Amino acid sequence: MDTVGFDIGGSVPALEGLPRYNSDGAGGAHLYMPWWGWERQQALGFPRGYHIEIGGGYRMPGIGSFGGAARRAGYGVALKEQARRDYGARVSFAGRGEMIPNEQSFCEIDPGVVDRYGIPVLRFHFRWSDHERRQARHMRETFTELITLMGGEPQAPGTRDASGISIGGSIIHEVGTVRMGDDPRTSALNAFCQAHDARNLFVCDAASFVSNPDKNPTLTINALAWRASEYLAEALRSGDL
Amino acid sequence: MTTTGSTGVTRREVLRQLALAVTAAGTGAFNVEAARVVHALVGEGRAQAGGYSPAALSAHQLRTVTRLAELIVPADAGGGSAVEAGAPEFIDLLCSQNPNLMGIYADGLEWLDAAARRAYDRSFAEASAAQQTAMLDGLVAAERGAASSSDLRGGLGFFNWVRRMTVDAYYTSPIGIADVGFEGNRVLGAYETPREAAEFVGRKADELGL
Repeated sequence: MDTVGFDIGGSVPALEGLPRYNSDGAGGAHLYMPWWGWERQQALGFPRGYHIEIGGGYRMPGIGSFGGAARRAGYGVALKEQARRDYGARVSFAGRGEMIPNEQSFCEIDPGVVDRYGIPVLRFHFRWSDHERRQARHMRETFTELITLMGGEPQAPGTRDASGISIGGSIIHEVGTVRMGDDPRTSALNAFCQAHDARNLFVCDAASFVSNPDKNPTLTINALAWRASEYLAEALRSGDL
Repeated sequence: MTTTGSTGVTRREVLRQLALAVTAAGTGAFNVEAARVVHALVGEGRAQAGGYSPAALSAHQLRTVTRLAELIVPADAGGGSAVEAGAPEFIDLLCSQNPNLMGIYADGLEWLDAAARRAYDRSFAEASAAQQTAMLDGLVAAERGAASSSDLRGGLGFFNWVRRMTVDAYYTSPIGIADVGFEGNRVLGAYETPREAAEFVGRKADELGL
């Protein structure tokens, strides 16, 4: 699984002329809107939520910062005036949503490929389902409406697949495939990240996740590894392992 | 050129990486730090006895790029020019590390001189300011789809390159950063939005009926 991603931004003319100030630290992931539609999940057609990361402010100018101003204004003093108007007048929304597992997303031992030691490698399969596609569509509609309400022009964002959702893996929250669960028939690990089939095997990364929350996975990995480590220490002390 | 940054990468290597990234497909995300390295190299080049000596462009090519940079980002009441900011040398240094980019400039400048000779019987750099401005106006008109400027369409690709790199060089330089009024990169005691900025946004929201 990966986190569902959809980003869109827009220049908002109403923000042109905003007094300059040091906005370091005030943008990006520091403005964050948690999921608000959890009571309407049946009506929305997708079961899990997403959060919004809101961007804007006076970022340090870099390569490409004023390409849009240059294209709109042509060249000369008009270009410089356009750049001054545009600077800080851009607002962006990044949606990050929960992906739920599906049967087309799994890993298996590759029947044909081995690494340089002759050990078979893993082969990964990944597919978004309609849940994620509907969620990304909701992001697009919501962000487009927000930018339009502010009088801005929504601008098509970067890499995405044909249905408008981020390319799997691009949000780099790859989790799952060695899922946790009480039933050895449907899961590989128990609640302590210990393999059902091999008592001395513990998997302490994000592979045990049974879903992919919209949040970044690192803290959950830490918490699960902590719990697994305490269990492992106790099992060693008592002689169970 | 062995000075290394905190990552142990030489400045020459940063220059090369930036130069290659410029013409790689789908780029645009390389960082402010790389541009800063190129500006430092430009500054050192200018400080040499006898001034900056071009790394890739001929004297005529550099003169033409300098004139283009002056026209694209001129000095005005609000800030300096791309030439003051070192844009021509910035472009020359990147061209010196990327043969594809050098090819774009060599072909583009040749096209520009040929077009100037057709129209005014002289190279672009030798044309009058009014003639140079007329050519850029024609390129912008062609970019916006004006049919009467169709004979300038062949130069649009190059015009976009030189404009984009001039703009990037200017707005990553200290004077360009000051031009747009960036106030960051200073230690903050607290995260506070100034009252006048908050009131400005409140007023605009009222106007929009939000």
